[in-house]
Amino acid sequence: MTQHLSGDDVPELTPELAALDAELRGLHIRERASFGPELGAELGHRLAEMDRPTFANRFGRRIAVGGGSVLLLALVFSPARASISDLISSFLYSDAASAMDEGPMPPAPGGELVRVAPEPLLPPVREAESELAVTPLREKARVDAGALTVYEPAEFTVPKVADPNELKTVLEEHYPAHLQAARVGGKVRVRMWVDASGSTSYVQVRTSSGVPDLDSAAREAATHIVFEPARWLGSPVGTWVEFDVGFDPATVNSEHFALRRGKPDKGVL
Amino acid sequence: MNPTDPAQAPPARDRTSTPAIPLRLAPGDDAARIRPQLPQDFAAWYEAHREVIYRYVRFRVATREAAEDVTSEVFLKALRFLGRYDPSRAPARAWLLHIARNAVADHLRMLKRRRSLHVSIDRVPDLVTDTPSPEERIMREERIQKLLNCNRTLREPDQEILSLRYGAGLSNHEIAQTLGITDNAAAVRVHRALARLKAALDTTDEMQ
Repeated sequence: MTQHLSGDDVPELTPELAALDAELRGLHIRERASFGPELGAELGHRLAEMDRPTFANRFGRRIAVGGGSVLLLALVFSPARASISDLISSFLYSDAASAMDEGPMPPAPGGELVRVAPEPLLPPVREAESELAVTPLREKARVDAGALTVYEPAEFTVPKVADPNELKTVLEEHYPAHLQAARVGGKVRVRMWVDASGSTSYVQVRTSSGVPDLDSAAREAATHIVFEPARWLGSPVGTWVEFDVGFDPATVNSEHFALRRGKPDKGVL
Repeated sequence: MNPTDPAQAPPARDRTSTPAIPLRLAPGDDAARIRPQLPQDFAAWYEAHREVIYRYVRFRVATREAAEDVTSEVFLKALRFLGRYDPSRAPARAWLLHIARNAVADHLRMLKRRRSLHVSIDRVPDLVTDTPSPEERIMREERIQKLLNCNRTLREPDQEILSLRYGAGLSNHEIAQTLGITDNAAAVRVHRALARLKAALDTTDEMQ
């Protein structure tokens, strides 16, 4: 549709749209009288803090340039490069290294000792027990090692969904409307990284539902699920998890369904 | 302002407990007196565009307090990233509105997690002008509540264009400058968004 409209007013409005336009123009939006001066004062204080000479302000650039130059030169020489690599590794993996160095874990009768790293890369092999089951990969290793017994430190806790009710809402909101209408459901196994804050990323579909739109919806929904993160020795850590996202047309909330069909639900957004 | 002059020094306050935004003046404070100097350009921007930014934000969030918080966040970010602003790429207001758009999105995303996006009737008293009677005021508040709630059911681009038009009060030409589109395209978008808002209002009326 091509419309040649210009100017400040929007011509060719129907009487109803013109009335709505006039009503919206008459909306009275005024800030609180003292808001402007208050915010101005706050901005001024922030500016003063930014301009205040600090060690970082004065010497930060010099330190950065000097440190970068030293690092660059050191990396050129292989002996120094190896030393720097070891130094960096010692900082990054100090927690795990110290945990690992605490000594062998007590063996079970007839079993072998295997140390498990905080963030293993083992592939999943066990089916999830339920739609909401979270199965971190290290647990699977324990189940499927066969004759090899793998012991997990008791200090590791798996991620869990922070709010099951919110999860239900997330799934309902992402259930494609046309599939709901056709009563098409399914389960999608997704694999994702749950970081130390409980947020998800790097979502992948591990087992498809057979319906591409459901797979896409599951991948999108997974990014909105909030977890309580895994904990290693009491501290939150990131870990890979696999998660079954199930879409069941029989359990869809009718109000949310109506919302996605373009009809705003009364009082609920 | 001479910061070394005790007479002009801002009153001492406990910065460790003061929330970052917004700042509330203590009784007796003179905002004009305690206001340190902002960079000349930024101060001019602040005075010229603050109301527009505030109205744009207020049209999109539920309460005056939330609008003040988000507006404060916009200008704090603008101050922090002032060095990155390139006048050749966009006018100052367009840049500030771009920051405001992202700030509003962050705010609404946070509210969505808390499932508190709905605008209640008791949250819009600052949007109602003088009315002849309390009954009229209640009816007006209900109408505004319905308008804002229906606006939030629209797609993001429609909410954006309606907020620029009726919140910030921009003309079609100014909207076009802000969004980097032609005047004709801006007028068409406003027209279509208005029609969709009308449809949403009609649907709400049918359901009630």
